Amino acid sequence: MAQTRGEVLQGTLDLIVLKTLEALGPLHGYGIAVRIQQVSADLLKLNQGTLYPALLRLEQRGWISSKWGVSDNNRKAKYYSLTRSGRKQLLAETESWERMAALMTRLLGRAEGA
Amino acid sequence: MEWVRILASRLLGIFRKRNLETDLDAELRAHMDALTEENIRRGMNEQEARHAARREFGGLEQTKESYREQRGLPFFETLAQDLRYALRMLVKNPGFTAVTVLTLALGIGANTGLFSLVNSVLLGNLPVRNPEELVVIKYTDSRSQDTEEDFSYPMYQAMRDKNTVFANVLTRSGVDFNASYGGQSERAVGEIVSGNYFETLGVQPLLGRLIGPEDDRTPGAHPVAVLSYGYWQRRFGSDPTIVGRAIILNNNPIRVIGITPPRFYGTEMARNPDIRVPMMMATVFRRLLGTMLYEVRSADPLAFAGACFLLGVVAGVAAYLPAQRATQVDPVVALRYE
Repeated sequence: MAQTRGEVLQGTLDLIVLKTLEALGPLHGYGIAVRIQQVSADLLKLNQGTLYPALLRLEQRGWISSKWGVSDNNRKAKYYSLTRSGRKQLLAETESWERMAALMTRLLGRAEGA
Repeated sequence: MEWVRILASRLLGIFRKRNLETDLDAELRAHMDALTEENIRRGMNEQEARHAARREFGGLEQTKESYREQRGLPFFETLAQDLRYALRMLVKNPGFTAVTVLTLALGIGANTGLFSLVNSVLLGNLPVRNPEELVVIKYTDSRSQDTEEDFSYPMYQAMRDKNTVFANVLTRSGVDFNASYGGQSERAVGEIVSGNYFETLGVQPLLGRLIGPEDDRTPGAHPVAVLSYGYWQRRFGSDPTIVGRAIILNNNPIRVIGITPPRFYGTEMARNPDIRVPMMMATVFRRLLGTMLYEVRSADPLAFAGACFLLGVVAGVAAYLPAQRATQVDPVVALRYE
């Protein structure tokens, strides 16, 4: 089975992180990375390190907040959770993503049909 | 307002650097540890697990660096570093610093000086009412093809009285005075101005009154003068009682009737006269220049006065017609139609 591992498309990492936090609630960076890898069934090639600048960026925009806590295996970890404006942002970005995806599908579909 | 929040967060990032750095280390280490543990659980030995974790995570330092860039204001942080470095080097090399500072000081000073000059000469307007409506009348000498601004007094009178284009036509001419007051004499820059000079330029007196048409009727019969603000300050210590008193100009007692406002310097940047007297006083003050007068019957005082202004400069003019039209009409052509 030939698998191509896709690069994370520019600008989509934010959306992915927001969605993950919405689905699972407060999570630490490692948890987010694991979850993304699971959901994408390892199709996504993600350098886990790139998550952290993205998390900081989202926090600066006020879409997520962070708090130090203790992880399942009793380790100190920084937990990120979605804020209210983050929820709104997620909704808006999801919508615009869907519009874009639909448009691309239509465009490409027509191109193939012609 | 999102950018305010981002900026605030980044600013905080600069000032709380140490804490944040520890936090970041702890967070990333936790991540690496978790990855390693997971790998061990999958059956790798510890070293393998650690290597695998590094691979999965990507460059640790790279991550930290881009995190830091996101956190602070990298541009300003490096700028601050550069500035600190520059200052250290300047302190280390006082000789070089002195030369640099002097060079800059001289350069800036020269440029400022030059610009002030250019600003007032080329860019600034005359400090009078409606400076944009003023024009200078010139003519081209048919023989020499030179452009001249010197008119005879009768010619000026004709232009003033018969013009239909301009609101008013004024004239002025430079003169040097030997001015005495309180036993002290000095050379003063003077100007002989037509009676409508101040009225046309729309200049209001700071003190007393300015020269008006009534001061410019009979040759030699109007011994009055107006002082410039600067001269009044320098020579008379801003004494307001000087108005009404007499000063001696070239051995003639002349009564000071007023002071011009501070910013007013006349129609020529370079000259800035100290004392102004009515045009009719040219018969008194221009006698010394008799050698330069020609084609004049000195018995005729009007012609005498007029001839003086062959040397004089004519004339700012305020137009009530649009200034544009005024500038397009060659006055000599305009007068020809009279």
